[in-house]
Amino acid sequence: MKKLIFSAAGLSIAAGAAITAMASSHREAPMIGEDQFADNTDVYAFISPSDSNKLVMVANYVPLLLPASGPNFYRFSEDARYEINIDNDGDAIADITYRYEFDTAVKNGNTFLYNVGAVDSLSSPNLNVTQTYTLWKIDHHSGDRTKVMEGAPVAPWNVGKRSFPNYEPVALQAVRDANGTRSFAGPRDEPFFVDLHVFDLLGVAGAPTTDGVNVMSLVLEVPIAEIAAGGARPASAGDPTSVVGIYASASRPQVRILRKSRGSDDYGKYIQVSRLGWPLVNEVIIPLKDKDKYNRSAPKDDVANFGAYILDPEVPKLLNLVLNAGCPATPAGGRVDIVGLLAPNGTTPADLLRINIAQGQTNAQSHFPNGRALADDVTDTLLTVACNSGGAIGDGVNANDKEFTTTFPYLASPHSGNP
Amino acid sequence: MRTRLPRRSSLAAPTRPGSPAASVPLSGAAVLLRTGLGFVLIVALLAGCGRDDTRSAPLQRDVAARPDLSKATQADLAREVDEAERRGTWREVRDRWIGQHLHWTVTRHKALCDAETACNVAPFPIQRPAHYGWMPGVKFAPGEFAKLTAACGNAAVCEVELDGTLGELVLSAEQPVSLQFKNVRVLRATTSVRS
Repeated sequence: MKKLIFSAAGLSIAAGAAITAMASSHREAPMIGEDQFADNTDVYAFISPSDSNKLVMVANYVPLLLPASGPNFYRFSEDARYEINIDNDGDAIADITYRYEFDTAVKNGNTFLYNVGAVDSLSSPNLNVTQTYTLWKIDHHSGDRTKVMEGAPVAPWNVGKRSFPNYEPVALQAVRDANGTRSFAGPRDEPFFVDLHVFDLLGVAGAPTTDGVNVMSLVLEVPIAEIAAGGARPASAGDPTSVVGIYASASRPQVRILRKSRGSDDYGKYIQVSRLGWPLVNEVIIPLKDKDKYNRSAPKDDVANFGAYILDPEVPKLLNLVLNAGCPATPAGGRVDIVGLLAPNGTTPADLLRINIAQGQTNAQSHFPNGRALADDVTDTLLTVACNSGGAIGDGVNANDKEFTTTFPYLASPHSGNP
Repeated sequence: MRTRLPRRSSLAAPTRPGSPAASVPLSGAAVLLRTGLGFVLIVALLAGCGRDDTRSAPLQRDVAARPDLSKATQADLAREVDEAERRGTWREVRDRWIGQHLHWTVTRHKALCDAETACNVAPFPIQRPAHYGWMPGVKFAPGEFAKLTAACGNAAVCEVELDGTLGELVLSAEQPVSLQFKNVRVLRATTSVRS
């Protein structure tokens, strides 16, 4: 029986037609579905639980990874730019960008093995395939481009118990600090929890379908003063500059030439191929014909490009059509309540994950839509907001399969390929 | 944006001695074509003529040939956009519409048009759900935004009859549809909204 669970009322209602995707942003558009390594899946932002003067930003890429996926285990793309963008003055234009660029090294090309023996540290000679990255901070106002870290290691894939008898201590060696900024790049347990049976004619019944899979994570913890407008943490929580808007993106070179006798060459400027702020916007707000274009566009243009979809979304109609969910018809004035959520403190409405960074804000207040904590059940929140019936709606999956940690990098250790 | 140099090869690999290419004299063009450089130049040329070309100024002869769209509505534009998407050619639509003086009735949502410098209007009434995402930007003629706010007051929604020149129309394979009116005059505004 196909069901969508109405969590508050404890009801289950039969379903009978299709609905759009609801994995936060996993393979959400046709073109990015063919470019897995550049696919941005989720963004999280919260005040650090260990230091309320710091902001944690998590950008996940490369969706739904099977742990036993050798011999070429998942990694970051060398040809892509992975970026975390921050608007700190409310105009929906990035003022600061943190950019990750990756390089791959192979110690021994004469073996197919990722590692040639047990690995007990990142410097182990047995670790055959390694990645490093350079982290840049770009100030779009001054034009300054600062190299925050260079040669920082990416945590290896959790191949299995024979290769990594004690994986997590090795992975955590990839945590790097530089002038108050802390960074981690590597595989983690997929933190997004949802019942993906939604694709099977709305067959949602609380199945934790993202349990047991991994994702490639970028985790960045920075002093709030370094990203705030004016270089200081705002005093008032009501000012537009007390809210920063965050989105992650991935870009690739415009031209790639495949060579017959060797690899490929890349040329031209970088083109954004994926972006995400709020969860689920490109999945359930933007229709199929515009999904790829959404990934190419900038948040500052969201109202001009997609505003009518936000005012008049498809989700409530589908919930009614398929589930008789009792969502009221979109009012003649449109869903300005959703617009309001996308524009806190008088900021420009846009698909940005906004979080208040004013003095006094703490980790306890960092819950969606004021930022997004790892444990926030955004699927339930957004279905409930979209339906707007006064009752809560959910997919029946309410927590991740692994506990999140209270220390950096906060996400759970990735599932082992051979536990 | 910086242009990245090739990471795995030289830009134009030399022809190998003894290969057919080395034994046959080639014209300059043929040499270019046989090298990566020639291919890059062709790609660059094609990119310059790409489908995402958003050049907006039509040639003078096109202006003379353009139809009068002063009575055309947003529904007419939407139909042409849909057709352009099907054909995969957008320039003709852009050239027909950009610069046209138009007279449309739209919906002003206060939340999305609450400042003279930041105003987008809904071209279609609520359709449950929306068929198009675009909301035209509006640049008002002097004094016109004040007329709008005076007529609409604090109403969350307001139906507005406006005329103005379509100054921008982004229409391409890569970018979402967006348009912007300039020099807009408010002819009528009412809090009675179309349904």
